[in-house]
Amino acid sequence: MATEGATAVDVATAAARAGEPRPNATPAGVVEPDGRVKPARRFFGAKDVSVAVEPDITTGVKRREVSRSGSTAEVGFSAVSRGAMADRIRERLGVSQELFKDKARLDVIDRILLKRGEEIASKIDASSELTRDELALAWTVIQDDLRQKASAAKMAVDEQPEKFQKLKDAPVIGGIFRRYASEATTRVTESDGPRLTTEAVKTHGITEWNQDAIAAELRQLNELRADIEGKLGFGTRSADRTLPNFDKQNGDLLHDSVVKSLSLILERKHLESSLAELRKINRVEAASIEQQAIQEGLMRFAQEQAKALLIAERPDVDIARIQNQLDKINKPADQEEVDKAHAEAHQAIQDKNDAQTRLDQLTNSKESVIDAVEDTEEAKQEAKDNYDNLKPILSAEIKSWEARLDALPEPTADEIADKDAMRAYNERDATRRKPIVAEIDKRHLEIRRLLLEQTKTDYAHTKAVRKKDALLSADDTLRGSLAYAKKELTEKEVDLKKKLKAEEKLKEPAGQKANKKRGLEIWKSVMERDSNGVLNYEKIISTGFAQGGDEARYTQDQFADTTATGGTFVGAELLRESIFGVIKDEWVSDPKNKALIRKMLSDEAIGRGIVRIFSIDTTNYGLANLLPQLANADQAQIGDLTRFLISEGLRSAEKGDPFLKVSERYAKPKARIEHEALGILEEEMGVVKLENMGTLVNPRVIWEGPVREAHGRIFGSLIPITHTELNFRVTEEFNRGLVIAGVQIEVNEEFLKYLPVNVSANMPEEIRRYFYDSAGAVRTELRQPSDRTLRSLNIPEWITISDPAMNGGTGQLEKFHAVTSADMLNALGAAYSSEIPRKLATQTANKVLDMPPAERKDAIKGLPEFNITFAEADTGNPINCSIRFDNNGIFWISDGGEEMQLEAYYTRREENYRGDRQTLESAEREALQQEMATIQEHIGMRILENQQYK
Amino acid sequence: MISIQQLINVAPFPQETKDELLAKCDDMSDSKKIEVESLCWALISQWYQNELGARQEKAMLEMAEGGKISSKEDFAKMSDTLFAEIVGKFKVEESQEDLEEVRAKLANLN
Repeated sequence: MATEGATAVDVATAAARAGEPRPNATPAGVVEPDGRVKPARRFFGAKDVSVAVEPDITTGVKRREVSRSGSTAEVGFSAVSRGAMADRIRERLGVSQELFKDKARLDVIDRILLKRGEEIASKIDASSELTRDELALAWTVIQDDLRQKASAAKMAVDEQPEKFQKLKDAPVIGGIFRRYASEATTRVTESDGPRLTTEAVKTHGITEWNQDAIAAELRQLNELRADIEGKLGFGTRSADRTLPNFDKQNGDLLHDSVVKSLSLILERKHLESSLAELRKINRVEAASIEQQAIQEGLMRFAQEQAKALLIAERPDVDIARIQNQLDKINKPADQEEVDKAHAEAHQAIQDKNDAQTRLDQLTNSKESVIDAVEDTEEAKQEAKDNYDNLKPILSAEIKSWEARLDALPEPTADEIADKDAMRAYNERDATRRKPIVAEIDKRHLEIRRLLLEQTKTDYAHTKAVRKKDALLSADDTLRGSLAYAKKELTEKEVDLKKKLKAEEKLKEPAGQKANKKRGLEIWKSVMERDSNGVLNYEKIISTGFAQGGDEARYTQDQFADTTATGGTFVGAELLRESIFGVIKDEWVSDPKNKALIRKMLSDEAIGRGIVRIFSIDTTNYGLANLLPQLANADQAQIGDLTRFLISEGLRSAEKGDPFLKVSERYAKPKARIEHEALGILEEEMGVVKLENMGTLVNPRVIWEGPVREAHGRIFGSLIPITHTELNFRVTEEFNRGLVIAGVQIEVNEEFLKYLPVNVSANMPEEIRRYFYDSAGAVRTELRQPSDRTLRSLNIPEWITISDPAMNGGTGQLEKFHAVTSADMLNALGAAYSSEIPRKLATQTANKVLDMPPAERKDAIKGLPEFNITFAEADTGNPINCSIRFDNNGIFWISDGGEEMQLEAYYTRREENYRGDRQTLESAEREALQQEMATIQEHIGMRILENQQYK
Repeated sequence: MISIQQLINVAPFPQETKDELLAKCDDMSDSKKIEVESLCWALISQWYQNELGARQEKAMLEMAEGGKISSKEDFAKMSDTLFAEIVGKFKVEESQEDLEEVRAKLANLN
């Protein structure tokens, strides 16, 4: 039976010795039939150590202080306490001996124990008179044992729990203390921190541990340690000072902070060994480092807590705005107001249409003058070509006819002498000359006609150019007009939406209005004070922090509950209750209010909030999947979620909408507006595929490979194209609900190299603006690299070639992803890139065909035979050809007949086309050249494709 | 009466955090001030306990290794010295009321 005043160890040990179960009913010790106790350390795998049973002596204690000289003095330890102490020392001695035998590294305590362990243990067993240094050794052994076992088991012991009673209601930190405020407990932690396992604990082994056994063991060690400390005259502390009064399992940041500090200090001090290793060398130094880590960790923790407090300040919401919205609802709309809104909406539609018409007209007029210039340019060129081509022919023919004139026979002498004969000669000569002269005149006339045609077309072209110049001479003015028209259209569209919304609002049914009003009132009350002057928002946040304690109103597990209830989930209902129920109970108890609050803070809004706060990469906002996340949430995260939902709800209420729709921009956490450097995106690179090369029908640059799913403000990817490098990037800007996506191309040498000579109809506006002059030709400054200084020309490094905008409604973000990843790049291909592959292909073919065969052979290894189809220039008939590239670097082509080299094939095609004629008409020559260009484009494309997929 | 500014100055915050809290504390709501004060006291008490525990442990290790023997008075002195250090940091007038307040707050955790 335990005596009054005995410690828990005394009681437990005495009970064990008396054959009674120990307090706490733990397998800390087993009483043998002979009265000897097998202590709980068997759970650590250590050999059982028997402790001699002695009578329970707790009386006759003399209290006398130990002198500084270390002389023996009597202190108040019972025999059972001494027995337990001796037992621990012997146990540790046994471990030290085993370590010594195994030649393992020993720490200071091991060495002291090997030297004096048995002597001290015997002395403790035999006498209650202990010196302070002996007690200090016992304390160190016990403290060491406790710390190592607790740390290795990831468990911690708290004592004197009542010390937290007064702090448990403190905001922020109160929740942490509340966990320890009830009674002394051995808590299981799941720390990821370092295990400070020593050789001693390793020797004990941990495979047989179970939670109850280790809990009992730690509790007993802790009581024993506290007993010694009390006798020595100082207080107690937690079991493991590297795991002080905070633990990670419950979201404690301090533990992490301490562990982080510890590793930083070890690194700072260039200590490669762990703290456990350091203890073996210098325990005092190790303790000093631990202390430093704890205090530094506390400072970091303090910083984070302060930050959280400052962030947790109330949201920046103007309650007057919510009141204004309420006033608007309260004011009944009369018919006149409704009519006015309707008229305004109608006018807005008209204005928007007018703006659209103006924009279309401006765009069309610009395009028409550009087209006119192109058309007259073609006519002028054709006339010039005709003149240039035909004039030499006609002149030659004139000469020929003139030669024939010259070749007509002269009169003979007889004819000259004979008047009649001479008259007859003249008649004959005139008859012979007439058709020849007619032929000559005809050709002169044709030449004049051609010249006239050239003059006419030249004049028409000049006129068209002048007209275009007149329109574009102040290009900035036109651009300004266009920009103004676009801006005007956008403004009118926005205005129209507002007007329609206003009209809709006025026509809103009374029931809807009442709900909206009630919802706004509820949101407004969040920022109002209760009868005690406490801001409701503060109360809500404090309730959030209350979770986890014994008196917790809500727990993480409750919030994570996905049990279905009334079309929603228990956890979601509790989240809503934790916000609105704190203000007024009736708002969650009254079924009508409850239904309204479900709409104000819908399941989807909560789901999106969870996705944002917990950085979940998903587009599935189903709460059944998301609520379970809260089970493992820490307090800060729950607080963040609550604050996020409240502040978003309040902002929505400010705008007059009490039903929170968490914007899609929060769909993914990375969708926050942030700039990301291009350099880090290399892994996101895909490859470009040149599509439809075989048929040359709408050749396109398309994207293969990943496009970033998460979107920063600007991100980009390089699309490498074999032979060259054209860099594209996709940009996004989020502006509230509006997403503006753009595809940009880098202005580099390669880009300039492949710019078409003349502007084309599908060319993006920015390319036209920066690189083409008013006549539609590439700016002269850009034609020669030596003349080009992009910066001096104010040309940006990246220019936009496509910039669609889309409203951020439900599903728009996903739609946007799809657009950026495929459609937009296809659009890019259709608009601009069709120019690029054609140009690339022709130039590639030209370059390759200009090479000597031996060099060509090396340049394009492994090009397989391929077939092409093209329209024959003279007949328009489709021709199927096969093209083969042989091992000697020669291209061979066959259209079903004899296979021949490419050059020979071109020659034959020209001969066939010309037939018996001396020369081809200019249009015919152009058509034939186009036919050959088509063949070469095919060859170029095949070469590019072949290189690309290698 | 210990002010919130004194508490912020003594609590183991990094200097920039102290500056930020001091700059904002005038504009804080009353409930926010209470939160900050509670946090400061909790942190100061934790710091005090850590420091005291470390000094005691160091003394115990020295004793166990055969070094200096610490008496009960030594241990008591450790506590008193540390308390005096804390009080010194508060820069209070050492009125009985203030000292009692500090002692009571530390005792909450001690």
